[in-house]
Amino acid sequence: MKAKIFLIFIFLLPAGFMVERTRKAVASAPFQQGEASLRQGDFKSAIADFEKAIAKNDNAGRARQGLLLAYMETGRYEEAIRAAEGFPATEAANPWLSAYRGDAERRLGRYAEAEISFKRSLELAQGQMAGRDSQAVMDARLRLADLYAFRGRAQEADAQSREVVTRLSGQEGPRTAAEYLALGRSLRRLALYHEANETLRAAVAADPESAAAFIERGRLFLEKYDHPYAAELFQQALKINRHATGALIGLAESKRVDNGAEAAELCRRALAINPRLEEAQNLLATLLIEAEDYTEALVEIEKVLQWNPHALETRALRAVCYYFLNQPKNFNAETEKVRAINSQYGRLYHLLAEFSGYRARYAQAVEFSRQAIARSPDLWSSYAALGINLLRLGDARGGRENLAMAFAKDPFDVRAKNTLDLLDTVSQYHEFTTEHFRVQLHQREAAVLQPYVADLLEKAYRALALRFRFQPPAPIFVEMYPNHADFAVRTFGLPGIAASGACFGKVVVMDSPSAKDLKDFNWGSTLWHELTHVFTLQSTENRLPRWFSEGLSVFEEQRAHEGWGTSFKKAFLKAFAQKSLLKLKDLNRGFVRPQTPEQVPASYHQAGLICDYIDRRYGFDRILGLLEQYRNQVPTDQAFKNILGVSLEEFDADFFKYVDTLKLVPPEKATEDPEELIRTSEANFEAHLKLAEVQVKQGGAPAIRRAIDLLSAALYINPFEQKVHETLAGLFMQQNQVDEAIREYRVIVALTPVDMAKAHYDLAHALHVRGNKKEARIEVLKALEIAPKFESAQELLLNLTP
Amino acid sequence: MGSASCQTPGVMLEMTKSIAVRVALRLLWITVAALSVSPAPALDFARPQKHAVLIGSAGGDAVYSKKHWELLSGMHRVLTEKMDFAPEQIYLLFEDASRDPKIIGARSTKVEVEKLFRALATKLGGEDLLFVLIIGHGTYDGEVSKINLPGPDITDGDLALMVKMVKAKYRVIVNATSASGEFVKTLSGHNTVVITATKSGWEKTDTRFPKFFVEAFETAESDANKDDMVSLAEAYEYAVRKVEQAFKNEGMLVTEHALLEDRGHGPGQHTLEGQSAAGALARRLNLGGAAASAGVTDPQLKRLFAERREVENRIAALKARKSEMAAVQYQTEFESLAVQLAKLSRQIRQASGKKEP
Repeated sequence: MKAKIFLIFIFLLPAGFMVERTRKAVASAPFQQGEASLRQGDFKSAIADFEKAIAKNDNAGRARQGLLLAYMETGRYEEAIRAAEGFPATEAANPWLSAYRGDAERRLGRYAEAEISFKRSLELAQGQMAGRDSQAVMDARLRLADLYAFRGRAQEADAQSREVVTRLSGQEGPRTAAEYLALGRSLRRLALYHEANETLRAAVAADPESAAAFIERGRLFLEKYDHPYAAELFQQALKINRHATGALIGLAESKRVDNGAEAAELCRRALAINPRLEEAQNLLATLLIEAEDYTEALVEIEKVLQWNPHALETRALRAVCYYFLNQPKNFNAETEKVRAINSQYGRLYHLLAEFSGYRARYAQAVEFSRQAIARSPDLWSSYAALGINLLRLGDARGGRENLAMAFAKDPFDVRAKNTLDLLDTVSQYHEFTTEHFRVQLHQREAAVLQPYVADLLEKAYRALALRFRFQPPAPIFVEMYPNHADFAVRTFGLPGIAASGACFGKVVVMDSPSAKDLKDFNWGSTLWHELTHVFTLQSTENRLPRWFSEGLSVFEEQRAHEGWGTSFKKAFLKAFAQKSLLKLKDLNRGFVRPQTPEQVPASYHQAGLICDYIDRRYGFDRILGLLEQYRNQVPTDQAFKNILGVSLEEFDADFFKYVDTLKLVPPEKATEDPEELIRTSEANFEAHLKLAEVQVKQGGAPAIRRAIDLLSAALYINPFEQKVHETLAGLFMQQNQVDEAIREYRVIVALTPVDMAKAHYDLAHALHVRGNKKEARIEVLKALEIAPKFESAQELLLNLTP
Repeated sequence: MGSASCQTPGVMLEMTKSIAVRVALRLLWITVAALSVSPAPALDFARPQKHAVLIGSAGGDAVYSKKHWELLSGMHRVLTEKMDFAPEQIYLLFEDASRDPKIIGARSTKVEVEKLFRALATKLGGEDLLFVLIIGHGTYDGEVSKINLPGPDITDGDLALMVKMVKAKYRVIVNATSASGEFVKTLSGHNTVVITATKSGWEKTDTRFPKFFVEAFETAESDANKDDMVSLAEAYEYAVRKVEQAFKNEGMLVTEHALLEDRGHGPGQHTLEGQSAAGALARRLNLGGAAASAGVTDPQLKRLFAERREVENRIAALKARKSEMAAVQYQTEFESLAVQLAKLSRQIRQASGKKEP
């Protein structure tokens, strides 16, 4: 008689399970009910039903398997082991009971015992089958492969995986969904991702009701950074079994980048099913680490260590916390513990690299990635991370080499592919240098943007160097992308981020105005914001917290230009009205783990306002003092006491009192006054033009100067509007600022207007006025080549001809 | 003024004045102009008859009806005020014939459109030009393209038959409706310029093209070669650029791509190459204005004009050979000719008592 088989993928598919349906109906009620409860995720009932079935000897053998599975699904690992030990001698030959017992032992960190149990399971299964291996054999091999890999015994893991592949990819090939799944998992372990994907796709086709097949495919895509598709697969699995904790955790990991709050909620849902689910606790800790809340992360970590003191990933996360808490002794002790479990565990350094990247410590991230690769030379994702971080440090060659290596070995890695594709477009970019910058602009907009970008960068450098009493060494790299997806790929290797600019310390990347709706983006303020990061990150060796870095950037934007740095005020006013402003100790979460989408802009504005408040109350020197503290790795609460003489609670109280005095209320209705619009909205192009028109009509030197300022500011919103350049050029000529007029006329030519002849002629005329006859002649001839009858140009040519 | 449609009214102030000056100058020259042969050689329709047919589709609602009317009446005004069309040479058909009976000839039904083309077939011939502009809504079902008129629609095939009845030497058909791209295939022919607002029948959204096409005849900006006449190619290129800018400014994907076809065959082109066959006829054709040499009787001036035409022709020939020449040689020869041309223009101005530009 063929036994009904329960499969559990306890490690790759944490606590997920798949029940293969019986071919023959089973009559006895308690067992049947237990099976149904197990399938529905009602583990409490399943345990009671299986216990009854065992007592009544109703399919007792299979009921015992079900009981162990239900214990595992609810984190009752010790009970699973005790139950297995208490089963009658007649069950000693059941390979599944040994396998499940091994699963429980592994969950508790008893790895040597787990290995013995898995080996026994394999021996028992092999002894029972003749000819083709049974599913129990395959699963025992999978368990052993996972365990060996987990302990850093790669060769043994590969041998088990190859054994499964050899057995299942022979002449007959896989026959059932479970066999496809076993083969897919083994192929994935052997880094044969393409084949693994195809096989797992076949597993889904063979049994569309198999949650485990969807989960396994989901994990494959998750591993390859295709989070949206992975999320779809996990959701499919949850449609089949809404209690599949493997799917809940997988979905949480898929959402981790975009929606940390949802990821945390999914973890909590999984923990409600299994309160000792290591993966859920680890992910919660990870989310807290991302929010730079290491103390809280340690609390989550400790929970796991209570039942599994040898939890590898958990130990690695603990080491990460100690690293960022600047506790080298604890960090070293923790890394030793990790090495004791798995001496080849490169992932520890991969995690350190990842979180160093989050903290903008790219040099350290590069170093950690190299350590990860040294320990795990086949950790291809570390090559990709290394490549991306080298690019962030301006090392294009090193970046490309490592990304190429990652992609060659793992063509599914979308981050590597996207970034390499972007690097292949480098010939489409124009590079120029200024005193302190090396700038890359897309060829199609370089001629228009270059003069304004160059001017603003050097202006900002002078202003910020004076302010922060620090001069970042040249060159600082600046890259502007006319396609938002390219900017996103350059930043994270993946499209789909909401930000418009990013700073990696010595490299700034951002959207160019072409990438955005020209009505809601001010590229000038964005550039100033990112450049401020260059100063604050470099002066503290990238050690300041996110809120302070963003706050200073917003504050400096606001100081740089009227209306700049105001785009987040609306969200802040709403949060203020709802009394949902964050305390300073929680402010980082507002950026990386927001509870609502609006919390991000509100946190930006709040951080800027905090810096403004410190400046007003204590003076800018204290801000410099705080930066110095951070450079010396002093924690925020201590830094505030040292420099401002207040605790964080006292500071919060003072700050919120200050905010109350500002009488901030959202405007009752939208204003139409252009002056007010410019003050309150940094990207209102039309308001700048309207006000400039009023100034031009008014006339007189001060009004004309104001008009020039307004139109110049409008170019930071939309530099592609020919009429603005024409008017500016005319006003500059009127003011005898011929060089500035020439700059505008050159830009008009670069815009390739319909009337090119006039554009060349206007430039020629201005050059002639400036006394640059040689270039004037070149330009006027260009005009005449387009329009030989252009009489004004003809006259100018004659004037330029001896 | 036409380009006052720009979204930057403050900035437009200066431009508007400059356009006004240029338009005034052009009108001044027209008053002294008479028929002559253009050297380069722009075709001049001051004498041969030119007839314009302006058709508005069914609006569908008040907003579109108003918009269509503004464009059609605007084109009517341009033709009479700037292009020297006599009012009786313009046939305006609109869905609501009572909107302005002074200029609307009939309701824009299929019957009336057919009647009009039958009448024109008896009138035009020789060197005459027929200009047709259609504004409004069009549709395409994957097989047949239509202009939506009050009552039965007109298909592309219907329009082709009607237009081809008229034996004018030159036909200029501008179908600026949505989904108009399919009309290129059926309307193209010898000495015919076909312009459509879209590249196919599948571009079905309301078109921006007609607004800028009409505007092209009102602004000096469209006169790319500075001959004080807006050729059909210049008007087309102006409208295409403005449509692109409008979509860009609105932060929207471009949903229409106009086509021009004037070779008598082919699918039409969105971008016109400078010296390529596509657009060659459209560069020579314009709806009005006249060369400065028209009506000159003074022998000295006639000689100067002749000399200037000769230099203009040599420049045109030189430009045609540019790709075959060494850059330095081309530049040297071009500079020499450009200076000669400039001197002749100065002499003509002085001889005719005009001020410096």
